[in-house]
Amino acid sequence: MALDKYEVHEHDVIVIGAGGAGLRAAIEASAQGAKTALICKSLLGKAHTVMAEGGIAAALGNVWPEDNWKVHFRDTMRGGKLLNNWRMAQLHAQEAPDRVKELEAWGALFDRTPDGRILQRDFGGHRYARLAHVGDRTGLEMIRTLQQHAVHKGIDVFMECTITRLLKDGDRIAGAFGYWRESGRFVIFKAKAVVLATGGIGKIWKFTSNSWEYTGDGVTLALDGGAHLIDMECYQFHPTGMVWPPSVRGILVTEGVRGDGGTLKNALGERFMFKYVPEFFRAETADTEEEADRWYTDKKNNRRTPDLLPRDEVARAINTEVKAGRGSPHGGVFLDIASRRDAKYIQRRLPSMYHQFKELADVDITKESMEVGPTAHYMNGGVRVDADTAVTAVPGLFAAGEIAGGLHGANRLGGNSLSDLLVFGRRAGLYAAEYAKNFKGTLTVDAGQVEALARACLDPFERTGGENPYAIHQDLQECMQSLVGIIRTEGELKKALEEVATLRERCRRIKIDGNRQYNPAWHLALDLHSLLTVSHAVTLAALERMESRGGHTRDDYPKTDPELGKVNLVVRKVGTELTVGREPLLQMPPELRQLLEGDK
Amino acid sequence: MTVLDALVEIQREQDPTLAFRYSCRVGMCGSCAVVINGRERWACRTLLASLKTEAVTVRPLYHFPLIRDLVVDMAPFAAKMKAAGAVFVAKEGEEAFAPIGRNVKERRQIDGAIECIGCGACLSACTMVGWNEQYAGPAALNRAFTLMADSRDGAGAERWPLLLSEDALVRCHGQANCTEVCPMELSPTDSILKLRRKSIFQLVRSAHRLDTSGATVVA
Repeated sequence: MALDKYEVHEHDVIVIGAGGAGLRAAIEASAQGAKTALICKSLLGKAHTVMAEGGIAAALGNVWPEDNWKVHFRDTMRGGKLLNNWRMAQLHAQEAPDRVKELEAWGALFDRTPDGRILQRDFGGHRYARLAHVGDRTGLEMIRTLQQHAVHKGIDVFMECTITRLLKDGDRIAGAFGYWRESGRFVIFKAKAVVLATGGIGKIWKFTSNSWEYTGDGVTLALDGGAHLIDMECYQFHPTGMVWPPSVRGILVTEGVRGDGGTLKNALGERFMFKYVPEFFRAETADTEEEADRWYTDKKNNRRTPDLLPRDEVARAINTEVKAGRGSPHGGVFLDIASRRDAKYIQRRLPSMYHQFKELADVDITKESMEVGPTAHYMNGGVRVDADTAVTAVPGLFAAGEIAGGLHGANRLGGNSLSDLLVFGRRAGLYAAEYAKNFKGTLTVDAGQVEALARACLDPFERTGGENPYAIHQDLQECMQSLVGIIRTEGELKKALEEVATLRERCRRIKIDGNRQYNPAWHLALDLHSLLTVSHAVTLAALERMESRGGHTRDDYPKTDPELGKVNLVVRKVGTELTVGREPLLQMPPELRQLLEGDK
Repeated sequence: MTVLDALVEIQREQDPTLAFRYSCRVGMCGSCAVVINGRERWACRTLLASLKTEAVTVRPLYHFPLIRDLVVDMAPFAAKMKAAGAVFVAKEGEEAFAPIGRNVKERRQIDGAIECIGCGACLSACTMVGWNEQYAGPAALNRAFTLMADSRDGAGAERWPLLLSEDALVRCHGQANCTEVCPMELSPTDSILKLRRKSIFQLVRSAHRLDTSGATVVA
């Protein structure tokens, strides 16, 4: 069988996903001389990065000269409950400042200090004001800058193209197989190296801040291709999503609101976060409202407000308040910035939030409190990669950005995502290009496999089953929301495993009407394989971690278990089955361990 | 309920194949621009109730080739950006990269026009784009304006001929339909007018340069 009935493209490096990490990887691979393609499921520039509001964490030391990579490293590790890959945390903290300055050299405009340097803002879990930002639209600035730079460099961009399987020749990567959303026709990309930069999995939950693309495609491509996942149980629920009206439930309210003076209150008007300061953060957190209030104006002599504790702590606290009956009318809590800041300040610092609430909820945040509650937000875990080179367990397969696990451990700090994209996007592009350059053999794409993949994709048109893909997706979201949400128990997790298996059975009976041209029902039918695979992986890992740590909270094991603090949970695909196992953390060198112990 | 919610519901309950684009659901990505009750809007930011009509009509953007249902081919958007040279090119040869201060005129000018998220509403609303496919149109000229105002950009010399061509600045008739519909409340019309003002100085300067070179020959 030959491939000649298919459209075939040939490159040294293909990058799947065109958010911050994918763009940065493509720019780097291309700069290294590799013939590079960038493939994305949406239109260019619509990737999730565009929604990032708060900023890019980088120890530039512009606002606080005391800041440096060591403090950033410490904050990242502590925020991640030490489950992090220390080497990734080190590289990330060391290289983030250069990546930010480089963005500026490519045309980005950041907000500035009075003396003209890049301004930095406070965010949860960061000891010093550290986030380089542009109002509350940092992601837009970043994506525009990277996108224009990439296009200017002449990188081949393939838009609205969904990849459904990685192609291999023996153990090695040989390319990828997918289809054009517009025509429904199949396409083959032959490549020596593939960089996965497809982001996260948030669409498996009902209340999510994520956009429609976040169906876990890349994670599933990696797993199906033989790579391993880590820390999948440590999914991050952002503490502040909108809760009302129903159609916008889950949409993000940036942490910048709290960084700029917003405080959380329950229905009694209490600033409840003071009740939830864990021992781990007690020394650096204000214990009275007076001190917290003083901190906004005098940060040197006061400790920071508990409203800015790491996201897992705040999400759990809100959850507890709501359960105790002290929530807001629509099942959240109140976030109040109006009583501390004047209207002009709020509109200047948080313009997107102001418009979002005004237009969608008819709430004027300069006068009233917002109602907020936890929402599925970010995959802390993901594909396991080598820290320095971003390579996965599969030769030729690299991963960077949200899809890669390790940097954030059990919980990510706000602002560490955009810097992650840049630091490891660049590294993935660099080493993918190097791998492609050094690979001297030939790669063959198996025509029989391609034929089988194409047939499987078209199956849903042929069936008579009558299942609707939208209904299956909705049922999956209900299942994950109620059984694998913020607070988990063994019984519910086991039930979720059964339900996921049942949903998989139902997928075999999906019937798609119409033709292949831009048919969203068919697209979703194909995405469901990914959605179900990642749901399965998260649930398996959540069952195995019988403790509470970071983004993972077990009602039946509410404490941390020191033994489980020494291992990552690794999910693999063996045959057609997913398995989960414990593997020891990488050993940290003593000089880095020392940075964590001192409280300076 | 927003128009987007309604479209999603129709897709789930009535027509699974109904094609439309959306991503972020919250007015940050600019994927869901369509024409609602005769005017370009984002489906995600338009409340059905605010339209105050019993039936709501939704159609795809004008002036883009139709793919299916509400989905159009956005390729002309990128082509127009290119036609206006709307890409940042860093100035070469500067020792340190020169930042732009926080409260200077340059930054204020750029900030007023920078927040375009590429939804295409302005192109759909522009009658001149409708008449002339070659016209660079409001989004690209607006971006070009921010670059021409940016002291760090080094591509001005190459961009001027594009902007001064037949199919760029001169094509705008100042009807301001783009400004009227822009969901980000930007004013491409204003950017185009400011670029035109600059272009006059540019034309005078280049004419002057011709003179001086002539003068040099005489001397």
